[in-house]
Amino acid sequence: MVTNFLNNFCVTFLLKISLKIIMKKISDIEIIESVLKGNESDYTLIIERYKDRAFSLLRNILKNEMDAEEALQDSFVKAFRSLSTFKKESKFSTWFYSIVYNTGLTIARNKKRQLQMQMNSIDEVHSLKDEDNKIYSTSENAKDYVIKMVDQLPTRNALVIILFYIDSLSLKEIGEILDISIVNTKVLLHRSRNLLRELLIKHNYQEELL
Amino acid sequence: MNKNYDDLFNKFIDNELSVEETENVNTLLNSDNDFAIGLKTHRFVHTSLFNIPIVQAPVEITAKIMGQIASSISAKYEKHYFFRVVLAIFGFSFLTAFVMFLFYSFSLASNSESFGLLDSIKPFTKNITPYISKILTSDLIKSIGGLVSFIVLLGFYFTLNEHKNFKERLKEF
Repeated sequence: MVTNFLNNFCVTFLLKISLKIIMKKISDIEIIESVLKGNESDYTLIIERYKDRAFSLLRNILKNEMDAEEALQDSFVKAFRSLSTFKKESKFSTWFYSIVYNTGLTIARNKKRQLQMQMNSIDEVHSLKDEDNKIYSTSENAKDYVIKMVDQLPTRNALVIILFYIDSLSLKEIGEILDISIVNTKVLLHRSRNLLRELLIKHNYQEELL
Repeated sequence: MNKNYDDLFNKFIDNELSVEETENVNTLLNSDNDFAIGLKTHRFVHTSLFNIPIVQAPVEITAKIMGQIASSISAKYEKHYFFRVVLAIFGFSFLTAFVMFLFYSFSLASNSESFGLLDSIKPFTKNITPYISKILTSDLIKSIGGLVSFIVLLGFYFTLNEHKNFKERLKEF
């Protein structure tokens, strides 16, 4: 019994490692070409590569894990069905995240969360400042507070931050995904940073940093 | 804090400061405590944001998605199979009718030669041929035939158009 368990564990472990190595070596375009040739099961590699980051984005848009899971499935199925329309000159991630973003928006609209989605201007961000005390009281330190506050930012601001800092996308790529200009993308990024800085100073976190 | 510093802070983070602005930042860092605190906090925000944790997607999501994709693929093939069967039946019927017509015309043209099976049905066809030709040449049948052909062609056009629209909608989707 112990031997079986060890065998299974070793096989699973080796499979996971080999999958990771394969995933690192093969580019998105190569995987897509293989899927388009009829190897549909290769799409698993794309799912494994993007599922967590797409889920993070969707959770931020929909503020609910169940809806985010539904939207994630929809996004991957939609992307699979439209793979033949993907132009290989652009990055797959940009194309895929725009599908994720639009799917998230559609589901959010269907669930009548439009009011939350439209919180985009800095004036509306002021309401956020009134609600941050809860997060402040549960945060361990300044870094924890900043990370928790990202989830409370208006959707677009939070998405710009996630795509810029986590997915390392350029402002141009983020603009393409959110369907806004580079200037507006930059404005959203700067406003978010400014807001988070102001909140840190409001709670005297700067003393911790000095 | 002076609101104008926002732009300087962001330019500093993005490495977009001009020579003049860099000198201005250095001066402000030594002379303005608020600016120094603000810049340090801004840099802290910037570095902290790189540590946003990625939320893990549910464990069985890959299997669920691949299941959905597999079912959509099989549905697609089933649809194609049905379409092919219908086309094959129509094609086969048309070909059979055409071949029979050819045989019949050929047998009428060469009365002297014997064709076995055709010889046996010749008396029957000889009896009904005048009636059939009479019916087919009547104006009423011609009008009905023309109308039916027009309706079939119209139906075919609408079906094709609908299919084209559906494909376009699918592409947009």
